[in-house]
Amino acid sequence: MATVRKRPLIEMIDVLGKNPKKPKILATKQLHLDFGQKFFGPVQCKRCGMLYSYGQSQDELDHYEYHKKITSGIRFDGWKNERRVEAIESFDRVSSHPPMKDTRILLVLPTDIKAHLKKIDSIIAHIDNELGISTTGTLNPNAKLLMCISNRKVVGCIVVESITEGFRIMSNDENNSSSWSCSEKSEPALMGVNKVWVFDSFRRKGIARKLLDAARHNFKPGHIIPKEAIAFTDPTVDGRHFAVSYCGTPNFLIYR
Amino acid sequence: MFEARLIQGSVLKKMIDAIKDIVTDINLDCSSTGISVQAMDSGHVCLVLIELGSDGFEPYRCDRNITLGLGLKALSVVVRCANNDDSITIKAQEGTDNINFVFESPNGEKTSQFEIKLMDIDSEHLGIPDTEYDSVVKMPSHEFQRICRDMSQLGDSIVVACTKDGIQFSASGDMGSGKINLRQSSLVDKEEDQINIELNDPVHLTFALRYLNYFTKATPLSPTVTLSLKAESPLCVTYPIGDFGSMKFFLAPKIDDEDTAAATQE
Repeated sequence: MATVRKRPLIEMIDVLGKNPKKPKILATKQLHLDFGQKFFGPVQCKRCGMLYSYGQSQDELDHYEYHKKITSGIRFDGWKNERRVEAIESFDRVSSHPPMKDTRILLVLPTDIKAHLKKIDSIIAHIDNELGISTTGTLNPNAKLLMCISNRKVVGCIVVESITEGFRIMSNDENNSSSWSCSEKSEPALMGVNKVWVFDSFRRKGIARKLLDAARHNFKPGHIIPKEAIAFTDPTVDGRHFAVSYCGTPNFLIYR
Repeated sequence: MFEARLIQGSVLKKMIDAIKDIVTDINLDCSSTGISVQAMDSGHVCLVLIELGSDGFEPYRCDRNITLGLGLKALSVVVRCANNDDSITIKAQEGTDNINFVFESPNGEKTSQFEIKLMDIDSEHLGIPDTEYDSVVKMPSHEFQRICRDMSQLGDSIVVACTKDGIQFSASGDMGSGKINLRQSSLVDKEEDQINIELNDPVHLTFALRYLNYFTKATPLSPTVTLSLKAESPLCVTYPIGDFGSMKFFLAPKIDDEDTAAATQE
């Protein structure tokens, strides 16, 4: 004899909600035509460097979002009590560029008010993402951050920290910038350059140089750090070019 | 100097109508043998190939090979101004960046002239490989249009299966499923109503109906359509245009996707 088991109503609704019986639809994937066309398969965007698949709507959308993020820069509306260390009239190599509105360098310390640091954290996260380093998203307690603001945008940023020693780069081969070796002997150093970043369309205008100059002047009160006492972290190719030109020697100091 | 007069202007109207949803701009490649157009949709899923022989035009003059880049939006606006029985003359001077369209009514009482700015469209000429198809099905074009339209009510993909018994179109979706079978017919009076199946190998392929419904907009061009199928290869849908040209559509098939199939089962 068959018995009908009575279930409470709630449980039945639950069962219905959890296992909606979907009709079996065969999942299919749309293939693409390949007649040897130029824009096909993975494409790398020249401006933002993202690798994506041409013709795939989701990929193109992702690229569009990322491209916008990279190319539009970070907005910065200014703070009421910002620590301005330098106002910039114009950049060295800018001649054709429209005049810079309210361009200045700000110093941010890890002891600043929370609201400021929160904004800084988001800027650091963005920069780390672009530089391709794993991010902590926060300003280290012994670090100082300087950023260059122009037209309500962060166009450059530098993070420096206090160090005691650095190691000299040995390799003289500047052409092969991606590989290098350094001395095992440490040398005294005072200021470590943790990261340097300049907004894509503002590069090659001396912004990083101005930032680093400002950092040297403001690192220790009443004291200017000599160029010989600064060290860099593991540089990128562009970063190495900058360090070589700033220190005036291919054998600059690095630290970790 | 390029000049080509198409007596049946409606052919051009229909062609533009058929491709304007697939691509946004086209290059007319004009040579002494005729006009050809090659255009791929932005998603790289389908390709349109139009070939019009010079003997379809009267007169046809092409001194030098010339490529005319046209935006389809402007082109469709202009050709819509032509009456169906008008003749259409396309003129382009070398060194200018305009193309002229002249519409003439059959009795010569009304002529209209339009000018469109040419565009510089970056496109490459693709070599479409000659393929030996497993099955080639010739059928009335309105029948094919009807099948695609009906099947798109059921699902977004159509399965085309060609065997020695005939050709079967099927689709399924949330609502249900449907199948349409067509058998080879040779006893029909009119040649264009015939269904003719040339079968080398049975094939079984899936296609997105969205694209097929774009293709069937070319139905007014021709009473018959030819579907050429080959396993794991693009489908080729051919609409002959009179005896001087053709409009071909290539469509990449859909395949069973193991990744998403596994994901939906979870």
